[in-house]
Amino acid sequence: MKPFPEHNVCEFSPWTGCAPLHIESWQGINKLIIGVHCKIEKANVENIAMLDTAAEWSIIGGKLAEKILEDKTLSIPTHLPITLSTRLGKFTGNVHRLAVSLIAEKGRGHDLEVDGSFIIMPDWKGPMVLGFHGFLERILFAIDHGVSSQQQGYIYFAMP
Amino acid sequence: MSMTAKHLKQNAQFSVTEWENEIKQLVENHRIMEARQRLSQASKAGILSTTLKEWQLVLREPKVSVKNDATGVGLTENYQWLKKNALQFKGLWVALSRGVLIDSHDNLTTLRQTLEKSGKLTHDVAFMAIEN
Repeated sequence: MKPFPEHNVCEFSPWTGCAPLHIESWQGINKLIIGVHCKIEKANVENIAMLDTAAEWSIIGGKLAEKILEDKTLSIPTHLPITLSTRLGKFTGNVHRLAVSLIAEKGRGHDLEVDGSFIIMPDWKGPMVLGFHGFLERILFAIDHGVSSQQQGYIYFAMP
Repeated sequence: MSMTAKHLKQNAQFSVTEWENEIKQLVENHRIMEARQRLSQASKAGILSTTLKEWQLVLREPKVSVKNDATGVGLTENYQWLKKNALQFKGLWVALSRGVLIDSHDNLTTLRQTLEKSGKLTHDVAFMAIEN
């Protein structure tokens, strides 16, 4: 395992957490170019989400979306449905305010919670997406993909 | 009249419905930054509605905080389990601990309760949904 940078050992190391990431992993028919471990805080449910700096929105679909819609304590929703045109087609959902954490591996810092904006669409056919505006825009992160495809990749993250 | 004052006057002439429709369109067109800007302008122009307040709340910039703990246990092992077994558990919730399946069910609450009753609900257990 790679050592997590010790606090104050390197002045250029701002990271507060680190975890394995998964490159080119598959979830059914969906390929996640970069998959990261995250947690829907109030539901205490984990997932591997696609980290996508080119996506405007963060999206949650399927069973996770159903759970969020079923339990009103998990998020703050808007009541006006929107239709989003995506590479997988058009989907309808609502924008929610939701706390999602990037999970740090035990012994490698702390989880990083982001109270962000998500579109909750139960019919969404893609993976959970952590997009730029509403999620990634306010965190620091770095990706170490390892020196070969056989080596474990890591994500490092922090609050700016 | 300055340009800002002119814009504020124009904005004030928009009806609440026009503001709400514009924000919805911006959101649907993947233009979050512009939606935030327009919401700020609506606020300055004194335009208020329940819908606009909802948009302001959900579209504001993310708030980030460092938690007190790291909760990731057996992340790579759980990933390896999913990679190998996800197909057989489609549509179910699974409870994993360091790459070992503890139990599964189509209802998350039932799954949690079952583990609790059997004394298997520890901090190492990760609940995950396997989509169809």
